[in-house]
Amino acid sequence: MPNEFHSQLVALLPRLRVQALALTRNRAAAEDLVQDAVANALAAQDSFTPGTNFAAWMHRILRNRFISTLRKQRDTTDIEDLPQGAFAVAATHEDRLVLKELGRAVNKLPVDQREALFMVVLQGLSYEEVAAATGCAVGTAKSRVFRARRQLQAWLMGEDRPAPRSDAPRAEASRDKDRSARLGEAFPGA
Amino acid sequence: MDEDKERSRDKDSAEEEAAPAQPERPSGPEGAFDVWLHDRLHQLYDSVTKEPIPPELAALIEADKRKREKG
Repeated sequence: MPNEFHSQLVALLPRLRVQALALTRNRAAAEDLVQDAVANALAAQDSFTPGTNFAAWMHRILRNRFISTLRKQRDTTDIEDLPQGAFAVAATHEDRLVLKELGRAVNKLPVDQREALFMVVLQGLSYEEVAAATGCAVGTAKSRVFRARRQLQAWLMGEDRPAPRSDAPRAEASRDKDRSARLGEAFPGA
Repeated sequence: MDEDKERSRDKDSAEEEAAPAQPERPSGPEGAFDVWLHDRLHQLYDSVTKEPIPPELAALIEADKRKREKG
């Protein structure tokens, strides 16, 4: 059993890292969170029932650790950053701008929506697994992912912004136009 | 996070029923955006999952594994 526990833990680490990034929005804080959660899991491994959902158990530990850490040091590490690897391989300057804009928008989502979106899209978890890992109803998990997608669509397409006033600064209207053009090229269906 | 949680929890109960049963089956303009979003999120964050395990974390797990095997 110990061998199985440790191999399951190692196999899950990439997913835990993504979940930690969804929660913290900060690479260094995410690494610390994963390390702390792993230490907690190792200490509590006798409480895990073999044959039950290890990923959900581990995700809950990481989530609880995040919440308790947040309570202790509220917002002291609220420095958002984005994975730099993606920008290195982005084909064009326009691609990098779109990715940066998406990354900033993702970081603006409520944490529970971002977490659920990452779990479904990046980790390929089912809504049932998201619900088990985050301690919510399946319908709530669906709702969070649905609202995250629609919110990102609204932000990225500028749908939630009031129409510029006639006396609004030209620069803002120009920025909106540039953004729509970028997204229009990157996302032909928009 | 607590404020975010509380804000969205209020909406959760009200909007649970409004969420489509199968949002994983994109169709129409929203579906096209969802496919685009799926691809761009992977482009943005896949590098995170491919990074090697930090040595101190690997050592922590390995040490516990050896301790358990002995004990």
